[in-house]
Amino acid sequence: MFGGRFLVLLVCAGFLIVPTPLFANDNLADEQSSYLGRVFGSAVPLPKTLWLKEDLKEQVVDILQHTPGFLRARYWSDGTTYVWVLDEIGKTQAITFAVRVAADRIEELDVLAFRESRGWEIKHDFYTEQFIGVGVNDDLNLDKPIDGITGATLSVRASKKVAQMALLFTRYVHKDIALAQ
Amino acid sequence: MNLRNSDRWVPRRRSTRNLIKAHSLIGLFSAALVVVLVITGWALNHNDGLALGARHIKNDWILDLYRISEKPGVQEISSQGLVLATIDDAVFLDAIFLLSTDDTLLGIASYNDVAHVFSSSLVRMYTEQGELIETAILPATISAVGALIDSTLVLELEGGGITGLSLVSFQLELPSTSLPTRWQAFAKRDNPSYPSIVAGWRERRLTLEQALLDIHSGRIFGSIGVWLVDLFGLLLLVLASTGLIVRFRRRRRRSHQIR
Repeated sequence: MFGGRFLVLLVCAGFLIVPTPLFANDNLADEQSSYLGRVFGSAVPLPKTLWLKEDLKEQVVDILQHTPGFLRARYWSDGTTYVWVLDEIGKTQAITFAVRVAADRIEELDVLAFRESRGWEIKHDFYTEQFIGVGVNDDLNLDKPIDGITGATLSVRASKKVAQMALLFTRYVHKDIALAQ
Repeated sequence: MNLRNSDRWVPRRRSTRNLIKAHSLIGLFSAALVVVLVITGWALNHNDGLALGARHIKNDWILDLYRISEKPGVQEISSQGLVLATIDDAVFLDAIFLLSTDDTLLGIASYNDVAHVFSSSLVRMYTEQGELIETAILPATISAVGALIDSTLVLELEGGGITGLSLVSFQLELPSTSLPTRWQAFAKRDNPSYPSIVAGWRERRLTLEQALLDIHSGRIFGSIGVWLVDLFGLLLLVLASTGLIVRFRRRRRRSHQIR
C-alpha cells in the first residue's frame, strides 16, 4: 500500500522537473544578416554608430541603472526605419536584442542571442509583440505597460531597458539630424 | 512535556514503524545538508551586501579541488605590436584585463588606435586603455583572422573561403593586394610577454560567491555533486511524504480509539 502511494509521489515529483532550453549564439552573424535582410530587403544600409556623449550617457545610466558597458551603439537606418542591435545583461550574461524603430515607436523587438540559462521565454512572440507600437514619454519610460513573465523577471527587465534605449537613441539621432540641417 | 505511557502513540502496523524509522534516518541525514544549504542560500541572497564577488579564496585545498594551477597556461597572439593573452577564460590586451569569456578568440587587429578582438561571430572594440567601445556582430561567421591590409582585415570564412572586413565601413570586401596565407593563432607561452598577468593569478581566480554557489548546487564535487544535491532534494520530498503519511495514520488511529 505504501509502495503505491510512494510511486504516485515520485511521479508527481518527476513532473516538477522541467527541462530548460538553451539558445546558443553560434550563428549570430546569420541571425543579424537575416534580420537586416528582412527589414531592409536587398538594400541593407551601411551600419552607423552613435557615440554616447556625456548628456546621452547620463540618460542611459538612468535607464539601465548602471554604467553602460559600451561607448557607442551600432545601428542601421534608411532614413525612416532604424534598427538597433543592443546588448544588456539579464542576470549574468548579455542578451542581444534587435529593435526596429520607426516614427519614434517600436515596430519590432527581437532577441538575437540569449545566453542565460533562465528567462528564455522572452524570445516568444507572445512577449515581444507587446512592444509593437510602444514609445517613450518625456521621462523616457515606456508609454504602454509590458506584462512580465514569471521566472524571467531579469530578462524582462533587460528587454524593457533595451526598448527604452533604442527609442532614446533614435530620438537622439533625429535631434542630431535636425541640428545638422 | 512528559507523556504517560498510555498517551504515547505506538504504531501497530509494521509498515508504519518502518516508515517512522526511515523518516528519522532521512531526517537525520538531511539535517546537516539543510544547514549547509540554508547558510549558503542566505549568503548568496545577500551577495551584493556581503560583496562575495570581491572576496577571493586563498585556501590551497579548495584551490586544488578546483584544479587551479599555480602556473597557469598563458596563450598569446601578437599582431601589430599588440599582445592578446588568455589565461583560462580571462583575456588581457597587453597587461590590461579586458574580459572573461567562453568564446574562442581568433585574433586581433588595431586600426585608428582601436583594438579589435575577434571571435567567430563577434568583434569587440577596445580603447588603448582597455575600455570597451562596442561589441558588434560580424557580417559573417569566421574561422580565422589574418593580417590587416590598409583598413581591410583578411578573414577566413567558416565553411571555407577568404574575405576581407573593412574596419571603416564594416562591410565584407576583398583587400586590394594579394591575400596572405598566414593566420593568427594562439601559442602557449611559458614566459608571457607581460609576467604581471600571472602574478597572484591563483589567489585571484576563485571568488567566495562562486565557491558558495558551487557548494549550494553541489558542483564543487563535480557532476556527481549535482546528482547528490538532486538526490537530496528527492529525499526531502520523501521526508515530507513519510511525515504526512505517519501523521495521517496516527490521526486516523486516534479517531478510531475515541470512537
